[in-house]
Amino acid sequence: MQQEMVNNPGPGPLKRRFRFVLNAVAAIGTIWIFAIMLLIVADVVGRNFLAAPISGVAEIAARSVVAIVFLMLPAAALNGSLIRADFLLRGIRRHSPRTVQFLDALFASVGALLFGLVTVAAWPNTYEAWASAEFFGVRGVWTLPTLPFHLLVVLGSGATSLAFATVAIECISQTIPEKGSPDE
Amino acid sequence: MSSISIGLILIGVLFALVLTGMRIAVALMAVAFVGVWIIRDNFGLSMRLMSIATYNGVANYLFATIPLFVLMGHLVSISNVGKDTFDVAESVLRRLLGGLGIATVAANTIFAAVTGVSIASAAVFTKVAVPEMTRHGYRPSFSAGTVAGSSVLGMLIPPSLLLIIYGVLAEQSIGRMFIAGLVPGILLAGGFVLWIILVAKFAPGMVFTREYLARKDAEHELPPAMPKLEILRKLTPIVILVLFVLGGLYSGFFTPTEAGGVGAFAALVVAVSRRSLNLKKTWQVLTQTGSISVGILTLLVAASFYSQMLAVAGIPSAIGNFVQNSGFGPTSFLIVYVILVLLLGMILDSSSILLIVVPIAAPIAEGLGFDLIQFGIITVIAVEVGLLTPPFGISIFTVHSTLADDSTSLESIFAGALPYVGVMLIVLALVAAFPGLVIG
Repeated sequence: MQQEMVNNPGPGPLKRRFRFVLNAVAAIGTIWIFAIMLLIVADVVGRNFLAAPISGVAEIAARSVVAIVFLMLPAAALNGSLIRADFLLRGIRRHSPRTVQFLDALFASVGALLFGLVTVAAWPNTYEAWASAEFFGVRGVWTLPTLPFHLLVVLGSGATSLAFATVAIECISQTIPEKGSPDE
Repeated sequence: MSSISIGLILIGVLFALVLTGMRIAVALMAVAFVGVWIIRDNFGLSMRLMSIATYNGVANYLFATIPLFVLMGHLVSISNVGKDTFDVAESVLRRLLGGLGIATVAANTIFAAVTGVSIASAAVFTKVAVPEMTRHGYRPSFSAGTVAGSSVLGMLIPPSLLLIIYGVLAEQSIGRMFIAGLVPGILLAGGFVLWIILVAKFAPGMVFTREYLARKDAEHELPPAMPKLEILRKLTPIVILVLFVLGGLYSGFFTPTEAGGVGAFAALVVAVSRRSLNLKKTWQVLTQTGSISVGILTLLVAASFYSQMLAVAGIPSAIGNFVQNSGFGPTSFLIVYVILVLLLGMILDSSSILLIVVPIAAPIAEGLGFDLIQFGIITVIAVEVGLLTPPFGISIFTVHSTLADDSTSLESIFAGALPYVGVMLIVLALVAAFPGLVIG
């Protein structure tokens, strides 16, 4: 971990701005968790003490979990905080740091491609949700459109794809020596 | 090539990718995507299943428990509730030989009932218990090992993230999983205490430093007893929190998600009333909660897609048939399974092991006549051993980095935690042999 810090020349201005935006979006997800907590407490109190349950808390909480994931995933991808097993990498890094950077670049590219595909895959349902004004909930009691939740998946995975691409580019640029010394 | 052999090759590829350091969520999803595509020779189907997994994979009321219990654990951790519990345990147990070690286990057991993450317990009690033990002549390796060892209680005594994840993967009721975790958790704590008493009596050299043992008989001053009122003041918050969460769950008054919401709110009230929250700390708690939750939830999204791929390939039923035809009895299956999980625990984190293994193993276990709740507790204990075994033992790492003391090496903490691994394996065998311990 510490070695990575030393090698890092510091992010460019574009990446800094990108990171700022993604962290801000992730902050919305963080606040959303807090809001769910308040909603559940309000429902428990309302139902048991005021005989006034809030309808739809379970459904809204369920949908919110997905929203929270896709609000936070792009920042997690960019900051490299998604879980991985790095014990082999630590061993390899000691012998050949460039191999590790190559693997990192490769894996980040796979991530970029995969979440690009998720974006494409999620689009038809999103369009349908918009075209048919799809909703969830109980008709006549409360309803919410599903479109925003579909859109969050599309936008979130798109941003995750971009974040992985940024990481990949960064890793590749680090593998190439700065003075441009010709290989072989 | 049959779809089963393709599926098995893909599981091998998955292991290779995970071992070489690919983000586990990405590896699971990529393998699942390619798997469905090749097996069915249908790119569109793969895209559709992936779309369903991302939109519906975690859209479940139960999954809301994960961020809520993580939030609760973080709030409890910063409001000094752990330190107070330890102080009281220390005062009550101060006359016993090895009392501080027992106090650490006892405080961890109570603390485990309000947090679902072992790492939280490990970090809190490293700061609280290790300096105190060092001051009283305990060996650093023993103190750090005891903190790391007893931190695993956090994942077995409800609420527990691992029990939630297992319950979802094996389609068992989270409430029942929580109830099932209690007796084995207490058994484990009892085993830890027994070990500490035995080793302090018969091999004090393993527990105390040489200097301490040399001058031990000369002076033996005990700290003064804590006044009753002080004990009451220090224990009230955690007792209320435990009553809220466990009481609500066991009486059936709360669903697990409600218990998480109410528990997190109660922890917030405790933290605010103790003035342990300022703007900066609040934000820290929230962002840490977010980053841990998104890590686990993303894994669950990926795992839901991966399980679908396994089902498409027909892996679970194929392995089930194979196991039945090969004359593998339930016992030998369980032994092989536990060994496999222990090996994985050396290199992977707990939730990833569950996600990779349970979708395959649970159907087999069910076919062999296991109760899936009992099987879950066995699985979780085996997975937790991985928190303490090298080279990747996350609890040990947490204790080591929280301690930030160069004189206590990583290896010595691993060694100090080793006896607790032994106790865990004994409890695991007990749970396997006596299903009555689980269905309480």
